[in-house]
Amino acid sequence: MKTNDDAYQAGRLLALALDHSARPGGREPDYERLLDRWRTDTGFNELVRSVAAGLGLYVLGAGAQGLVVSGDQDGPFAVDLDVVASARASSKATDRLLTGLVLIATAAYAYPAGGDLTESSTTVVRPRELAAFITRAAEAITALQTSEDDVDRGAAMAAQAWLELPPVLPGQRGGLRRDCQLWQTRNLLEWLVKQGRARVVTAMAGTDGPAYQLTDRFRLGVTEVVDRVAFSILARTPHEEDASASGEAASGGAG
Amino acid sequence: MPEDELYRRWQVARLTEPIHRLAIRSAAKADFDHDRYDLVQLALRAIDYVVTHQASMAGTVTPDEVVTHLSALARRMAPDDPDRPWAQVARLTLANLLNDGRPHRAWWADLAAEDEEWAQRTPYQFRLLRLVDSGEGAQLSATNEAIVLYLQALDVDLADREAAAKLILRRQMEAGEFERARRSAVDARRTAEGLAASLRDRLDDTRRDLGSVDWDLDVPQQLKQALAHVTEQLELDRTILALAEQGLATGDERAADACRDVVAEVHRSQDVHTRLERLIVGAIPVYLRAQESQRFAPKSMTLAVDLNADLLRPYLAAGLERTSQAAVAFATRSGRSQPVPWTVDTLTAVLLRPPAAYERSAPAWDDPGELEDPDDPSLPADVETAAASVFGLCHAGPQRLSLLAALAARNAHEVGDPALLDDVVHLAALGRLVAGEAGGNDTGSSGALHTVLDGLVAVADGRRLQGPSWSGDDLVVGRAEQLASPDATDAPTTADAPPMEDGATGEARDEAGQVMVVGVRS
Repeated sequence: MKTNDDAYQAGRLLALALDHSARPGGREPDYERLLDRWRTDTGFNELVRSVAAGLGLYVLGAGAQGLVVSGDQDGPFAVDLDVVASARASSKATDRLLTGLVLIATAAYAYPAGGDLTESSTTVVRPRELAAFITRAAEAITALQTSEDDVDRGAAMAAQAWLELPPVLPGQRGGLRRDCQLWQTRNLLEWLVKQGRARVVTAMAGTDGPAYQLTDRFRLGVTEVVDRVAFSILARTPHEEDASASGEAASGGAG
Repeated sequence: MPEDELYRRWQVARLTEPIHRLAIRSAAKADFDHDRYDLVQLALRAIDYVVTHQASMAGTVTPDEVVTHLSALARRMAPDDPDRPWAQVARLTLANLLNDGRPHRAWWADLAAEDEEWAQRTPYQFRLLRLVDSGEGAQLSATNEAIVLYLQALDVDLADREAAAKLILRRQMEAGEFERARRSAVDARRTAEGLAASLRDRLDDTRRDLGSVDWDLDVPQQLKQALAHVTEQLELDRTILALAEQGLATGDERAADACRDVVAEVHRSQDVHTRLERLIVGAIPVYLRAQESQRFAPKSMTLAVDLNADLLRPYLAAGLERTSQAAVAFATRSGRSQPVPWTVDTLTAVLLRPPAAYERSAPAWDDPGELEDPDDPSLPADVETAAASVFGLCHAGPQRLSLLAALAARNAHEVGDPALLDDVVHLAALGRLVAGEAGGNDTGSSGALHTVLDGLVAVADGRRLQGPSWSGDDLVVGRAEQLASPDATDAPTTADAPPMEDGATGEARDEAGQVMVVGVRS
């Protein structure tokens, strides 16, 4: 039988997992110890999962940023459109769909193969290259308009809308207007940074904009989406394979 | 097999491609004077730098640190470059080695047999550096391939190579070739750093997933070799130090300087070997702990956790301070102020949900000429006939509504809907009251009832309506000329009606008050 201390520790670990600012070894000195116990003590691991299930949470795993949990579909932590404020605020369903397309494309761009999801190494994502990647796949995704799967059908609608966007639409005061592909990718990657799912890698930045690294918290959340046909199409879409392209981008060259 | 050896050498050749691509293609396209920079050297130094940190206690290094390090080196390569593109040179070098975190790809072409029409190509993927998420930021670590490259891409056993290097160093020292000896010492130290980095990776993998590491053959063999190597090397280091001290004592200044460099290198090598030895000593406990936690630990009873007995009761039994602390911490962190714990799966499902298609029919404009109630207004024939029969009495003389309703109730068994008959009688009488002498006939009937009601009017004389279902004032219904008569209100009451089935008439018989308007159904 578990002791009350175990219950406290389980609750404490979940509380830390829900605090996106908490990091193992950071200002929460017990986080690392609890994570170690979660990794090594099977009983404690199961207890945490049980408490999480009771709260409507699902434990995805642990990464460098700590324990990663997600909300069950019907629980108090269920994910809804409020998560993405820009999509929520927009009156157009197209904006929501485009955000979804860029999100699934980011996952496919960074983790095109199943094995990538088990590796701790990550891919650098640049907004311009991500936009070009989506454009290469969009035509094929639009063929899913009649799919029975809601997500695939939504992706097809989003891809259609994507192809109607100009690649770049400069604003009058500099910057970008939102009705362009590059704004969509930049906006989503910046949002991922705020959510703790990505970070800017200054050392890899080019003259055309920042470079981003997806975090383990993002990677651990990519599981079932790989079964979508839209994801498969994106995953089969070639990257700019020439490494020199990325090098040139980083060096401020032709990339 | 020769073919395996060829494939291994092919892999090594491929491993050098990123560096050649950097020097030949990327540099040519970059917008700085690439001829002034030795990019291959920078790439090798970058790998050196990463592996050195990987073998240290810190374990990893950030991309920013690598760029800073390479920028400083690039500056020293061309301090007079007026464009000062040193950071750019550094980023280009790192980007080519890292390949944006994606694996480098190459294809091994299998040779087709004589009778085969096609040849198979086998993909080979590798990374030299890995970009990993450390929680606090991006970190770089070298892959095994990079470590092999760092060791000059020679497909040899690492431990044997280092032992050989040290033996060469000893020969060189004995022959007085101190500078060559120093370079060999550097090479040997780097080999040791590679060993440490490789072993550290194995142990990290073991902690994460025991099954991902071959502890049956591979790791024990590696540990055995590494332990033999460390033991041998530490002994060799002591020998070299003794030889170097002899060189210092020769009185030759040049030889003394070279020997001091050798001593410094050997001290660094000893540090590396000491750390490697600690890793080796700690490897078995890491393995045992991983085995205990990942394999042997019994499945916990928590599979059948009783939330009440195992969780809630102990929680409530805990001290107030402790439970409050946990509750506050949990509430603080689990509140909606925290970002919802979304995943790509759940959020994609929300964002890509197809918009609901609103199947709005075209607006149906009202035709001013067709504003009538679309419902069928006709009464059932039996109800209409019974009501007409009742109101027919009014043409002979004024009749009270109470009486008419009582008569209708008596005939209720003849209709399918007695309640409807009751309503029709009361409402038709009320309609006659409202319409007055000039009123139309809006009973909804165009048949017998319409005909009977034509010419009838109703008045109220202050008496109470009798009956079980309606209340209010009674009405007297009759032709206008009849109601004009002073004795019109003496119309028969329910008392004059044939006996009713219920007791509703008894009270009416005694009541002779004011006539009031019928209005409300009880």
